[in-house]
This record gives sequence, C-alpha cells and structure tokens, in this order.
Amino acid sequence: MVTETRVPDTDTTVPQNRLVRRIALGAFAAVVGIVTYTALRGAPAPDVDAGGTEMDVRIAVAGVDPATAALPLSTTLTSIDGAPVDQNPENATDGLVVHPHRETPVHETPGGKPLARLPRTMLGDSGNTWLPVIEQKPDWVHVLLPSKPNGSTGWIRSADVDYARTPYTVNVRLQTKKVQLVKDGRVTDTWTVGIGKPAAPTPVGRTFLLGAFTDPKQQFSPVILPLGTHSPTLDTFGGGPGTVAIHTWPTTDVFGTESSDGCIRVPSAALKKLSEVPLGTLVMITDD
Amino acid sequence: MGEGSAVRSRRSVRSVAAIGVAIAVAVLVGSTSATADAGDRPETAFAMAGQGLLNFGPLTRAAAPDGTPAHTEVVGLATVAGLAQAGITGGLLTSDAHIGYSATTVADLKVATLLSADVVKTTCENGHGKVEIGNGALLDTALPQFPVRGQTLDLALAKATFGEEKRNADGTITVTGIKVSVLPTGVLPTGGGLPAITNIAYVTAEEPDEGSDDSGDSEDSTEEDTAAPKPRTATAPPSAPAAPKSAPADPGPLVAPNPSDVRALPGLPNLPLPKLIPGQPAQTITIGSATCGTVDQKPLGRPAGTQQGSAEDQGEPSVDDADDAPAPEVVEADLPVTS
Repeated sequence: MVTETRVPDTDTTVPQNRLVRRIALGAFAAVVGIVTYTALRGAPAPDVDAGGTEMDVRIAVAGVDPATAALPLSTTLTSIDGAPVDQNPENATDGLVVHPHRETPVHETPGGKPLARLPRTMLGDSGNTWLPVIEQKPDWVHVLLPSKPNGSTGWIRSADVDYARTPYTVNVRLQTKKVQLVKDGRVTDTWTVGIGKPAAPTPVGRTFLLGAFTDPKQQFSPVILPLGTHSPTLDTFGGGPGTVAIHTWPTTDVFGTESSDGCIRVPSAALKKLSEVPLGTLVMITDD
Repeated sequence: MGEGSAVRSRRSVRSVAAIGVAIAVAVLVGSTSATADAGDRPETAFAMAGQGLLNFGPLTRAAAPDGTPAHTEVVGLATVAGLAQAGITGGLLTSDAHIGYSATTVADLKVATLLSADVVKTTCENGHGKVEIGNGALLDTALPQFPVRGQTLDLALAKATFGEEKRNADGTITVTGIKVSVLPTGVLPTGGGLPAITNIAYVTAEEPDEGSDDSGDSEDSTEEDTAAPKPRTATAPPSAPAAPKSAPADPGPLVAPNPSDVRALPGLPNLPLPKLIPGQPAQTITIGSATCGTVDQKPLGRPAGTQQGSAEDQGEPSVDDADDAPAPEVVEADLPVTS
C-alpha cells in the first residue's frame, strides 16, 4: 500500500525534480558568483561556518587582530624598522626592569604608531622577557629592545608589565678589557675578559642581559648570556643573527685579548656570578 | 528499490537545494557582517580554528561592531570539511559579543585522542580574560578547570597553552581559551616521558608477539632480536583509541616508537604525519578566542592581587615599591651567538 501511494507520483516527479534541480543549480551559481565577486574585489572572506580564508585561519590562530598580527615580533632574531634609537646610551638607570605579562605592542611614542609585538618569552617558549626601563610617561614605559638595529627602543603600556628592581649593572670596558659587576653603585668584582677582534668588534652602547641558556651545540660555555645587541659587522654568525653574548671559553689565553667575533669571553668565576644577575640588567659597553 | 531510490534522490536534490540556498544566505549575511566589522566596537569571538595539516575556521564567529548584541551558534561540526574525518567533533558551539564583552563556548569537544572537554568557555569582559574548562584532558592528562593566564602543559608530543592574553595594537585584549600545538617543535621527540602516553598518542596497540619477552628486560636485545618488545606502530589507529578495549589482554609495556615507525599525527591518528619543519608545529588548534575593549578608559587587565609589582594594580612602575628582580632561569635554547 505504501508503495502504491508513491508510484502515481512518477509522472510528476520529473518536472518537480527539474524544478528542484534548477533551484539547486541557481543557488550554487549564486554562491559561486558571490564568492567570486568577493574574491575579485578583495574584500574579507565571509563568515561562514565552513571557515574563512587561509589568512583568516592564520590570523585566528595568531591570537591577535589582523593589524596586530602583521607586526613583527621584537626579538634578537628580528629587525624593527623605525624603532626610536636610544638617545642616552651612556646613561645608567635606576634599575627598573619590566616583564610583559601578556604579549603587547611596541609603539614609536606613547600611544603612537605600533612597530612590533613584544612577546612574554624571549628564547622560544621559555625564558621570560625582562627589559630595562629608560624613561617613563603616564601609562607607558620606554624600554630597550632586543631586536636590530642596535640601540632600538620602544614604548609599551605599563598595564601590560610586571616590574622589579635590579641592583646590578655590568660594565664592559673595551680598552682595558675588563668587566665589572656593580651592585648598588659599588664595584663588587672585576675580571679580565676577551672581546671582539677588530674585524668583528664588540659593539659600544647601552644594552642589557637578555637571557640565560644552555645549548648542546655551543659547548664552549656551560651557560650563555645573550645581550640585547648584535655584531656591527656580522649580519649573521653560525646561523644566528649575530647576537652578542657573555660566556666563558675553554682556554684562558683569550682573556685580555681581542680575539672573539664580538662576544665577551669571561672566566668561569665571572660567568657563575653573572648568571645570577637578573635579566634586564643594564650592560654598559664603553670604549675605555 | 527503484522507487526508494527515486524518493531518496528527490530528497537529496531538495536537501542540496536547501543547503545551497542556506549557504547563499549565509554568504550574503557574512558579507554584510564583514563589511560591518569596520565599526567602532572591537568585540568579536569565535569557537574554533585550526592551522597546519588541517586548516579550518574561524568557526561560529560573532562580532558586534555597532554594539548590538550578536549571537551565533552551531550544533556539531559535521558540516565542516575534514573535521569529522579527522575525528574532531563538537556538541554546541556558541559565540556572543556586545559592548565590552565577548565569549565563546565549545561543548562536548573531542579532538580525536588529542583533546577532550565537556566544555571550554572563553570570556573577555571589559579588558579581562577568563577561561573555564570542564573535565578537560590533553592526551589523557587532566586540564585545569580555571587555568592561570598563559599556563602551559607541555607533553612533548603536544603542548597546550590556556588563557593566553595578547594586547592588540588598538588597545583591545584577545584571550585564547586553549591553543594546542601538535609536535610543537616540529620534531618527533624521543626518549624519557613518552612511553606513558604513546598508547593514545600515535601508535596502535598491537598485541605482543607470541613467545616474546615482555618483561621489559631487553638490555641484551638487538634491533634484530625478534624477542624484544616491538614498538607499536602508527599505521592503523584505533577508531576509539582512548576507550578501554573490551579484551582484557595486557598490551605489554609501552615503548617509545622509532621515529621512522610513526606515520600519523600524535593525537590525530587519522591524519598522516606531514613533512616536519623544525620550529614549526605540525598542527595548531585554537579552542575559543574572545576579543574585547573596555567600556571605561581605565587600562584594565590583570585581576587585582594576582601578582605583586604589576602596574595595573599599583599604578606606575617604580623602583620605590619594586621587589628585587628574580635571578634568571637558565633554559635550553638554540641561539648561535658570535662566540
């Protein structure tokens, strides 16, 4: 019986199917037309549940809005065009250091043009970012950046940082090849060190301790302390961006010489002490 | 049988027509929405997105550019290409946005054997982010219900970050509920810590060979020694890998597989292992993203009392009330320096 009720529809099935098929085809043609038009005029992809464009996906996964996602990260691996240059590279600070507790944009001026994004961590997913504060304005702090060019600075929101105080400063004196550890204004230790050779000099200026890491592929030192500055003559070195660092060396004959490719080679005792100095601490590299 | 086929055919054509019309409407509505994004208010939210071997999303996006409350929802993920095949299913996905507020909820989430949760709710309200996870697990490891902002769980094969907040250039905040990276370093890890999770990660629970020595005493074994415990292969993932098998047979000791034996993504056994790029996760999946601004002019962000020395709690940063900075944590990194 049920079958019989369906059989008589046979004569009308064809035209109905045709009609329905035409509607289907028309609808799909509309979709294709709209999508093509949208793509051609360069508008954002529509928000359909099947997902957006590959760019939409990338931005969505980045965890920031499209304008922010387009900004480069400020790390030792990158160069930030237009970053303000440190105007007082010979001045010490009061020891204020800040750590962004969320990724935050770096601006040219307080509330001004965004230049970069500052990540919470500096060495991949580990090693908290700590930067020295060189100037303050209401709701903003002016910090030294770890990226190229040397002496790069930028402004970040005070609301996005934790802050602390370091009592230390590290002085690197190139002429005398000495490193001094200064605590609360008093020199506590002095070591004779090796510095960059003339073809790859250790850069002069105000920089900071960027991190502390071990690397099985760089066994000349049990711990390496990268700084927020780079070789002025080597764009890359060993596959890295030419980051200058403080580390020890397997032989003692390098101390008191211009023998490195820009890094500061220190005795083991110095490395041990410097490894306990907070990140963000100023490192003042001077010609004397 | 022929009549049944005709009826199914008609229904099928009607269904196609209905889907076509629905998609056309959705596209038109979506276009309108995208255009309206140029409004003043930044509040948006979406439920899921993925990048890598499987690209999808952002799904169930809601935006309130003019401040008018917006709500989107979808039941299940069956219509999203590739997700069902990959073993990614969801119950109800909702997103909401209005002035100063956005939120998204994913219920009954299951990402193959990688991730599961009864509910993941991601909220951004007046510049504050919050994430709540109900009965969540990553590779069988329980997830925190109320994670601390940016808290991570690193299982080597997969890494999850919870409640990560990022400031946008316009001053708004985006909070991400859960971000999972599969093979986060772009390298197949080996060694300590892996055997405990390999059974649900990317290997098939093969029965030990007859007569094999499963005591774990394989010190004298060689690679050619067939008596040694065999790494379980990754070729044929079980359809319901995390569920206990009805057969009570002891699967034997878990051993880390040789990288050459791995053919599927950890936790996503229906997806083939792609060519890995060091430093780049093989797959990233975002569960919940909410962006909001503030409804007043105060730069809110960190909940009061969560940490000393925060400028949000105590005004401008100052050395006068600052704690001593911490000694550095020595981490492992790959950064060639000038030496």
